[in-house]
Amino acid sequence: MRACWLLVLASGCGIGIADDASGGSDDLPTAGAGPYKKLTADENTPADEPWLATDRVIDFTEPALVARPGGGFTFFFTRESPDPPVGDSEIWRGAIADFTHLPDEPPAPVLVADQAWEEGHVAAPSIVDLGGGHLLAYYEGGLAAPALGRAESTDGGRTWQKSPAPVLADAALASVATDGALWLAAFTRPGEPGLWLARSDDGVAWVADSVPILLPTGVPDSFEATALASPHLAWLEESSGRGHWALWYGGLEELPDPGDAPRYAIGYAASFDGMDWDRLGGGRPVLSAPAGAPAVLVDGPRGTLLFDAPNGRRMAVGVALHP
Amino acid sequence: MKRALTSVLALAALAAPAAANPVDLFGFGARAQSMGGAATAGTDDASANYYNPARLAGSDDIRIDVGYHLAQPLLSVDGHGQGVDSSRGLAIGLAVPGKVGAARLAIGAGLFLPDQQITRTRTLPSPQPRWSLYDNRPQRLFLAANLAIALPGRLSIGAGISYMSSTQGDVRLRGLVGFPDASSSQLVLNMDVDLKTIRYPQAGVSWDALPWLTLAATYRGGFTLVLDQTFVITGDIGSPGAPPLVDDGFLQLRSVAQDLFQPAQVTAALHARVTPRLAVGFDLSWHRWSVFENPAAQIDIELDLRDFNDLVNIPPQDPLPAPHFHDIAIPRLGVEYVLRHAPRRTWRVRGGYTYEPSPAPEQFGATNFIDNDKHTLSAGAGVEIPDLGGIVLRPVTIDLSLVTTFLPEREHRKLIAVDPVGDYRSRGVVLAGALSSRWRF
Repeated sequence: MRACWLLVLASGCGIGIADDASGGSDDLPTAGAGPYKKLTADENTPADEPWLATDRVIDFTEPALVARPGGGFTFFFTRESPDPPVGDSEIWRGAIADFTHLPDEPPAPVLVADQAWEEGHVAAPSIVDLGGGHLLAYYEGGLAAPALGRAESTDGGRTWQKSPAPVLADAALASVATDGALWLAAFTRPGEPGLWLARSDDGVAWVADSVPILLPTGVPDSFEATALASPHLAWLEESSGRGHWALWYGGLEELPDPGDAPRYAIGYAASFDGMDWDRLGGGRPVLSAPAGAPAVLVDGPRGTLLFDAPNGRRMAVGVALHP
Repeated sequence: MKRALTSVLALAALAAPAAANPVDLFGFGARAQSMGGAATAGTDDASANYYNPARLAGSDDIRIDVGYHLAQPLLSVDGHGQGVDSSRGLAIGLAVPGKVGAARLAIGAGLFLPDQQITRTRTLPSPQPRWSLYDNRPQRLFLAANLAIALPGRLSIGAGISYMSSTQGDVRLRGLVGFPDASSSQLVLNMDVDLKTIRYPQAGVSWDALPWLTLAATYRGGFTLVLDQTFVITGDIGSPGAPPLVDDGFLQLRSVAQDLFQPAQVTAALHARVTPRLAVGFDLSWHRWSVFENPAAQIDIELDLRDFNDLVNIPPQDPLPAPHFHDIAIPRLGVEYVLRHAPRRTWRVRGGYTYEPSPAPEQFGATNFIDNDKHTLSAGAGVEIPDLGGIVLRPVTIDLSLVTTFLPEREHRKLIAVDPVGDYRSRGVVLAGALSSRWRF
């Protein structure tokens, strides 16, 4: 009897505990480069996935994204009416806890064109988060000669104090980031191909490079054969203690037919020093067309990317996630 | 005896590349585990089916070992746990002595039966980070059969084979692929999956060089477990009742991946009974990791869409980068001390240490086979009960082991900034334990 009891004791554990799902893939390391996947529609959520901001008569484009203190996200985008005058636009702000829900702070205008040099046009916000609700906004202003404007907010982007004059001329669709010492602005130049960089020690006084850092590949069937646009620049610190400059951008395979919207896909490049840039290998986008104007927030093993793309007849801002 | 030897060698010669198991990682039997796995020369129970088949010949008793093993990896990268699966299951060993003429021999079998998954198969994209030695490897059934012979001169030899299965499968769909309405598809499914038996050899020798000293050596074969899957669709594309857009189209996708790899292993060992109460074991193993290949899938796609072939461009797959693993040497040290020898109970305590360097280089390129050096500390105790009565007239032994493996932090710095994974630091702890009982008849 004692022998049987001991045998059961020695082997009885093997009857099996509750089964587990196979693991080993949680929270894998990532630089946030991609690939990204657009949120899929879910009828059980209040959100209109993958769209964050969409309307039947208004264009929402060129998003920006920062983490909201206490959780969730604060987002910005360009709101532009298709009605005349062309280019009449505003920058709107909203906040959301979870992209499967509706914004808990519905989008509302926070930056409007009220400076002479802006010519009624403010667009393409790029937000630098200095912490504690202290934000810097760099935005495109002006129509005939687009330039880079600068504004400052200490309340999480609800109100802004603009610099009186643009900080960088001949720059459109800019994105600004800093590693704490060096400031870089990636932008496009009207009438010139490729993506350009300007450098600054303080984020106020900028000097532009004389040559672009990336040009369209010109390779047939490449997603970025014809044009590059709407860069999003970020400084990402890695667990090893060093960091790198990450650059997402819209790439255009071919020019659209007249009246059609361009079909951008989103590509990725990076650099350790801001001087030498490499594209992601394989010649593939990190988010397939139609998706342009990326805004990316990398948080540990996850990346969140906002993009703009046609939704029906109007442009809308959507959400994609990595992994 | 000559015939028996011939049989053993014939069994070994049949062996082909096969598969790995949790026993390689966590050991077999509580006694050996608690001595750091330094059991090649000193195993005296059915765990010899794994550590050294030659040691099966050392007893006159029929021995049955039954136990339970549990190992829980707690592995993290950049402070985030990856949820690597635990490994747990029943460990059963059997050793039956006998005689053929004047020759003493023994046959044995060892089985580790996981209670979660008999086997786990998964293929990951080449760049995806994974704990390469803990991912699939602990999720396996282990089965070994051995034969041992005691030779003159205090020498014994043993050999056997371990079994695994390799998966080959076809999934075939035939019929109409609905277009543009995919739900109108009319397809007939035909699946053909084979779990093919794979064997790999193991052999050992044990020599009682002195009354207090045993020397031993073993060889364990390496293998590669291949996962070969083919997916085929043949048929028309279009709408039911309408002329097809594509008549008799064809798509074949074949994926061939290395699902599991075990390096060939050679071990030299000694077991010294330093005093009547104290024994020391030492193993030094060489593991041939340098032939490890990238386990990601090689994908081959064939497509025939008739008039639409020009519209489809499937780029060729980039060659898989080599993992550049290297061979490693693993020292294992174990001690056993008879704490109290009494008529009714004999208590033993044990301890061990193992250092296993990582065979994986720093992951600075396109691969992310995460692995770290491993320092394993083990401790355990056993009690021998001489007579339980009933049918159990021989001593029964209960052994317990507790093992902690430390994986000190390792940094991986990428050569290029555009690497999609980037730099990372890996570290972890693996907690393991076993409870075994040994029955002699």
